[in-house]
Amino acid sequence: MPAPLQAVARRGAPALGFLHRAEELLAAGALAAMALLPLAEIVVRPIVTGGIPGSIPFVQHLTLCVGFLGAGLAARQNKLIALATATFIPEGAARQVAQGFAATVGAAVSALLAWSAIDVVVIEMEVGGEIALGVRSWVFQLVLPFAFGVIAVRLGWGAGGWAARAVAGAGILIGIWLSGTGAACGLGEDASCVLSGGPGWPWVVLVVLSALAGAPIFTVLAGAAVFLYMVDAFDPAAVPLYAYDLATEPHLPAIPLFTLAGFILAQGQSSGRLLQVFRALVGWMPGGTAVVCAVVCAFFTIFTGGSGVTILALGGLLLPALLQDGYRDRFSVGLLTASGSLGLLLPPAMPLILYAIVAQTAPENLFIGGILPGVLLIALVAAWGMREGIVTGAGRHDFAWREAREALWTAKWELALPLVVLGALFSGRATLVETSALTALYAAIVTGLVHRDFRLGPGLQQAFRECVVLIGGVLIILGVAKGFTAYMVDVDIPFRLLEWTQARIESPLLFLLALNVFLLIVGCVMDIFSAIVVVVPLISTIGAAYGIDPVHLGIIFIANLELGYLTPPVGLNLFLASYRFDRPLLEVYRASIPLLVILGIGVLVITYVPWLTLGLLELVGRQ
Amino acid sequence: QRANLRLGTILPANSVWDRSLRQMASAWQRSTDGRVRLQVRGTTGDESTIIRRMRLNNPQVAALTLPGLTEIDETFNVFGIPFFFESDEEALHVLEVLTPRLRASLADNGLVLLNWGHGGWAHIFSAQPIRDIGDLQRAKLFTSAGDDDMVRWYRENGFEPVPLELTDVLMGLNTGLIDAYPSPPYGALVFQWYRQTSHMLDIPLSPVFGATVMTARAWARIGEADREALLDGAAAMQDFLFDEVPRQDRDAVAEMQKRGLSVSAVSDAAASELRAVADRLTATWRGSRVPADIYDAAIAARNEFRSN
Ligand code: NA
Ligand code: NA
Repeated sequence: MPAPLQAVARRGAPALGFLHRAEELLAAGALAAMALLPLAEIVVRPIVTGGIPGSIPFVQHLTLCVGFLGAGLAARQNKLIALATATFIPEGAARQVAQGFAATVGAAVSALLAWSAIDVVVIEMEVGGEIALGVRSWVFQLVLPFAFGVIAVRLGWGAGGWAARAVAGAGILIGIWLSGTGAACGLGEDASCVLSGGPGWPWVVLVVLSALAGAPIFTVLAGAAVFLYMVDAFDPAAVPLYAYDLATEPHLPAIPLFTLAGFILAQGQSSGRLLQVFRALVGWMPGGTAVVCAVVCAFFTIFTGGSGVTILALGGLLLPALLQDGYRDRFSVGLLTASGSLGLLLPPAMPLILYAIVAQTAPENLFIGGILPGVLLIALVAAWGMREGIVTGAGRHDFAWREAREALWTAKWELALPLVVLGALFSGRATLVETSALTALYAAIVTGLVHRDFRLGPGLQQAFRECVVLIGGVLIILGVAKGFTAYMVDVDIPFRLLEWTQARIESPLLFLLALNVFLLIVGCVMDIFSAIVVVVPLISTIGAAYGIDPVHLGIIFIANLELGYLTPPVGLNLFLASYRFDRPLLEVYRASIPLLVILGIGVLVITYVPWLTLGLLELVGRQ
Repeated sequence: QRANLRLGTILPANSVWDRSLRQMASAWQRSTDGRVRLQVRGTTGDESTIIRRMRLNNPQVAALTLPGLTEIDETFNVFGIPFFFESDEEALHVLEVLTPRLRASLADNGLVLLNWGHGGWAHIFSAQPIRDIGDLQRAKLFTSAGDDDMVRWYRENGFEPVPLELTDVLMGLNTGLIDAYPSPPYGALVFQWYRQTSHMLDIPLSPVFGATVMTARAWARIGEADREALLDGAAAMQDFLFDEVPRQDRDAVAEMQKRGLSVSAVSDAAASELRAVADRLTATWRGSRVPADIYDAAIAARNEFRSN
């Protein structure tokens, strides 16, 4: 760094530190508010008719704030979700060039989005009304240009040395300029709309290459969307507009709040207590500890969603437990890598809620439909563990009533968690969002007050901080993915895809097989969240045309993507496991392959036995 | 001049509304010799998003429902006044009288009115039979989240509104969070809501009008002669909907009755009493939810119709 700049940086550091603190506080405060409002609503509704004024739209707009402030924080901590392909690039000059290239494209796309988002706010000032209590919706939308702008700067800053940063800075300026010309698109002023009429594919190639070089995933989806819009002479401001549309979806607040519950549980020692219980109950069986690991992981994944948090949070506890009981190393790593995504089909896991939002169906139908398929996948992994136990004779514990009773008693509050969730949801006292807030509160009480796992203030702060960053990383992808989907719908791709498929495939059974293959590929190259937002609108019409029940289609969809987590080369769990267990990626690939096969069989069963999904729904009269 | 237009709507594919839009699109293409094409395949996102996207001139045409129209201009709240209109003919008459004003307020928002749409008549569906305002006040009534004024008005008049998102209605009915809601019969049937609410009040609550609009920017680029052709096609669509949709609702009621819905018939005397109470309560909408002059104009037009 040149000397004068260093001096500026030194003097600026305290001010910057203060701003960073303020940014974190704002995000955590918004998350706290979005947890407290639904809780207050549960209490107030029976007393005051109509409940708290505007509480539902306020919570939705707070979700927008949490998501985008969190995305900004994730950019600062270099935690925006990216493909891990960049780690394959050899260190040295090649790596540096890739880093600079990825940062420049990422910064340019973010700057374009930031500038376009200002137009979105201006439109909202004209069109948008008041949420309640005199607060107008555009005020919340200010977070969009702010977050995209901050991300542009932070990505540019991370380009590398000063030369690379200068290039990224130029990228930011180009992004702003393009946004200006983009606003002329749609007005019919075709001459000022610079990209219009040109080819679209070079832009798609550019953003895909940048992602391979390590740019955050959201810049691929957003970049493809804004460039393609401009090529077709449409205003790219549609992309930040859809980010707003998605972030304020009615059921979306449930996702950050259930995730918060997961982070609070992970902050305490709940996993240890659950491990004790299941060990005491099934540790006597062959492969008992392995079964326990699958169940505990599934339990956590239900709340933390398909974010890989399970491996990060529980890996350090469960791997030593397995090794200590004499399980082979490769088996243990593979088991935990696969278990990290078990539970995604069980209520109230994030993908189920998100699928319901995108497909516009009732979340509770997916909750009920997912139970048997979810249990099937856990059972398959558990069976693999028992086989290992029998083959290797790995450690078994004697069953002791006393130990089981004590462990059950200690973990009773954690074990009651599913009852709290389902009880609140189906009692008519709380909506889905309110239930998620209640779950977070319950988690805080159990770990922070009952067990005193951590000092309440600092412990919750930590959980809030981590949750906000994760949610930000996910939500920004979802938001721009919706913009990308909207583009595809605009140019009529779902309909063309339907025609294309129907011309080639007649039988629903063959369609399902093709769907499995397609989704497996999708799962390889896309994370589960953007896959749901982007792909569900494409296949739901097709599925309906082949007479597939929408709930069944949803469960097939999520089950396939669950597999995608394990599929080399880019399955998310493989990377996380490699990082958490400190093993080479190739070793993790090898360890996971048997489980990939086993879960693949499970997915086929789920696909071809609709009863697994629909049986319970019929039983409770929902079909 | 050629125009390739896109349509935005939340109206479901393959519904009667979708059909009418397609008919209009092909009529447009025919009568302008292919100069004006309209792609009717809907857009992503809720109605608020479609309205905002029209500011970006994509889509250029939208078929909007009453909630979307009231978001653009509160004038449209006039059609949401509970128990204000007695019949389709009466409501249509008031709509025609108010059209110049409504057209102007859409124009203020950069939109050209092409035609009016009809979504049927909202009726009250409930778990317990409703015979008078008192029964209605005791019901846990679904209200759409985000309309805070409406919640306040309900509360001040002794009702029990439960603000929820539309997507939570089925859940709310299943768990008892709500036990009554307003909906056109066709909606209650296709969303399966009627299963939890076996009673329908036979007095229509309010007409669910809609509108097809085009951005002024797109309209400006269409030739004078073609504009006439577009308006003709739009008028034909309006006639079709005002004929077809009430029939669809009657069929829906018959279908639900077969499956156990009981339609609580109300005597004329009881109905006028309920309307009188409602008129008294909704008088507060004048100057608050509905601009005073529009409210007065609507009353005048309604009285004129009733006296003929
Ligand atoms: Na939305
Ligand atoms: Na919304």
